Amino acid sequence: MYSLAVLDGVPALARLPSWLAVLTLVGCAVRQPDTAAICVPVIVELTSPVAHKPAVAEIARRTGVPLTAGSAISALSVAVAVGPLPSGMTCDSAMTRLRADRAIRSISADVRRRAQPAARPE
Amino acid sequence: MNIRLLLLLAATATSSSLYAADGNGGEATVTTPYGFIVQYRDTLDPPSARSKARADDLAIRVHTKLRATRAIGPRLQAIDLVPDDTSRSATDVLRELRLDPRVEYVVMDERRQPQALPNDPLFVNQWYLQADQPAAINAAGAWNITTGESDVVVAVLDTGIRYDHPDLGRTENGGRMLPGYDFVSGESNGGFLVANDNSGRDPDPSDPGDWITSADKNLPLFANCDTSNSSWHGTRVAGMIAASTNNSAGIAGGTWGARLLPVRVLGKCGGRDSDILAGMRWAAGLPVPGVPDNPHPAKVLNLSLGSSGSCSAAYAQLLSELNGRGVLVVTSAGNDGGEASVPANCPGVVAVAGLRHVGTKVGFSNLGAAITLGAPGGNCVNTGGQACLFSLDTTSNSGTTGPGTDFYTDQFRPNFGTSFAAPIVSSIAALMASVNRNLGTVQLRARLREGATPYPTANTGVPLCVAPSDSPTPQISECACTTEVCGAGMANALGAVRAAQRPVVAIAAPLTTSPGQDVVLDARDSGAACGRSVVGYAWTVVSPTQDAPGIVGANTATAAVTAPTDGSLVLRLTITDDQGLEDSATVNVGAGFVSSAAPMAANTGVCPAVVSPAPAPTPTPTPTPTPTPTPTPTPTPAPAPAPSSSSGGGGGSLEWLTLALLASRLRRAHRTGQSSARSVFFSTFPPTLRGSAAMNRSSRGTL
Repeated sequence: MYSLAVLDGVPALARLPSWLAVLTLVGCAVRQPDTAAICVPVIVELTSPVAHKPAVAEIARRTGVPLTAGSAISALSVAVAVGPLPSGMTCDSAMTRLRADRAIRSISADVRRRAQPAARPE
Repeated sequence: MNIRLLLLLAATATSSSLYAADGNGGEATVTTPYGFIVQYRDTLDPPSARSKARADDLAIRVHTKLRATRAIGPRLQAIDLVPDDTSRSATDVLRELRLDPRVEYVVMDERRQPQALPNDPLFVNQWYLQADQPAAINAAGAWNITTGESDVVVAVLDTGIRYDHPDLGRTENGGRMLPGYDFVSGESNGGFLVANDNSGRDPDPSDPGDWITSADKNLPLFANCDTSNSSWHGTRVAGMIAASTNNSAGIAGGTWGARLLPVRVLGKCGGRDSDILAGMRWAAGLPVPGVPDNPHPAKVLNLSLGSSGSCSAAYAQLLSELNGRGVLVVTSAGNDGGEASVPANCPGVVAVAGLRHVGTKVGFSNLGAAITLGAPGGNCVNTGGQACLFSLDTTSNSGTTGPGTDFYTDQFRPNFGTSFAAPIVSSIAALMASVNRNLGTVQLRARLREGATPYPTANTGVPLCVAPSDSPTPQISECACTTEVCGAGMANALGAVRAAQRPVVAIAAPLTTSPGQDVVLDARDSGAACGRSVVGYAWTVVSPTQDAPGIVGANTATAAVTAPTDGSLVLRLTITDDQGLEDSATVNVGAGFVSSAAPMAANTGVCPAVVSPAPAPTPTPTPTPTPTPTPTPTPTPAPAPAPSSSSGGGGGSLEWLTLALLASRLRRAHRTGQSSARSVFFSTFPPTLRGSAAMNRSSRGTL
């Protein structure tokens, strides 16, 4: 599920020429459907209200999953970028590791929402 | 005929008959001191035969000349002072009439006018705020009750707004736009492509534009978005709620007084849940690390955004927290003809489906069991480039990329989508909160539904809408709404505001009981709408219907019953305010528990010192002579209220008697060594209950 989000929010790919980015993505999708360099962003709910950046860094060290703390939501919740993953680690396995960490209460996908004007008159 | 004139005439007729009938103070503007409305103690039968004689008789008794004019009801008669007899003031005559034993009550027959038609020139095109179309919300009717108070804040979580639009001025410049905040974060690589303002979170929620070019689409970040010009979506939503109103310019907002808090959570190609959730927290007054606290917490949050999926725990948890704070979240259903999107499908939100002007579901609107109610979503009828007949006109900007010229949408630059149905409902919620500060999230939601107009019966040729799960494909064409898939009905501002004026019942009780234990049920923290008070309490047994147990203090704020030894006892409390409006709730008292859906306290809201009347009328009324100083009529004697306790929902002698009896029974129980639960119970309900307003309510247990 998380590997599908590789198309969305991939800063490393954003720096590539567009044709190369597309080729890379297609290549990943075809050759390694279950592996992704960068997973969908997530919202991590911590078990205690601590400073987010050090807490996320510590979780990353413990789990071996590369994490970057983003904007705060509340004292407990923070947006987190996941990846690039080390070779052999899939997004699913990364999430499994994270869910098992003692400092994390829950993880949910940081989904993109859109405004809802209608597209066509009727 | 000019639509405004039609409205004026209709409103005049409505208001005069209404106010004459109930004799209520209402929103008087011009007083005619030479007419009275008299309610006799016995009927005029037949009215025409006796009304003149009765008026003549009254005239003799009060030493003046009176003339019966119009019969209003069996005992209700309009009477004029004879014009040439002006030697006595209307106040004197009124006083004497009130002393007459044949008169039950008398009030001045005052002239009323519609006060709440705004002078904004484009209001005539805002069909959705009027009452001529089945789906229109009759905001004009609600504005006769309230136009909204400035301390009620509606947050718009969207793309930001254009403060430079002449109808969206900042509060410091006489407008209604609060400073707000920008929650759109930068990318994890340090870029600000989505934010599009060269910064992440910052105090400026101005909308820089959200255009997507074909070059943008080459970036993975925007690959899933269509190329488009800037939408100015937040500016459109904001105008529908809080455009400067009655300012002789542009459009009217759904409220005239409520202030708007712009919270930018969407940038190019939308926005992430993490920023939306943070924006929701901040808008409601909850802390967000790294962001200054919001000095203007909102009562209503408008989210005209979403995408498909199921409601995440993050949304559900936050919504639960917001519900606990009395904050209402209004969301658009989405435009796919399928299931309501996230967060419209989350528990506790008001999910708004889009309706055509005739009350059918507009094709694009989502639907389903998650929908709370419907509101106009905008539809054109003509789709071939001609005028779009039922556009939802609002504020916008013409810039295709960055900001350009401000303008208003219209029939040729139309505006539609469930995005714009939601702010219509948010406006109504703000009006509701303006008249009753004791409405929590649950009450606001329930009374929005209560005030809704039933959907029209199915039109010939229009298929019934069905549950999305029963439809193999999205229902993207017009269909006839039912309550199963389009919510309670069509949003109705007048109906909702009237529902909001009812009091709010609250019941505090111990969480647990023991069989045979005396249980005190305390409704003193029930609350009334602004300017009103709770005057009556009536506790009744709903079940069992046979051998129902007695209620001590059945007509007081604090009642007591004995918990059953087996099964459960269902009681109903109905409270009445000083205008005769009611609210009720049931309480289950079992052998080991007490439960109720009613809140434990509902009189926590603070009303403005002076409730704003509707602003001065815009349409010039027929001048009315006011030859003598306007007398102030004594309020109409209210219909006999239900047996009441003292004002403020407090105790009174019956309550004291109740408590004394309970104390006596409980002391006796202690002496005979009954359950420890009683001692806990007793300790949480000391005999000094009357002074317990400052008690920590949590010590009484929660329901």
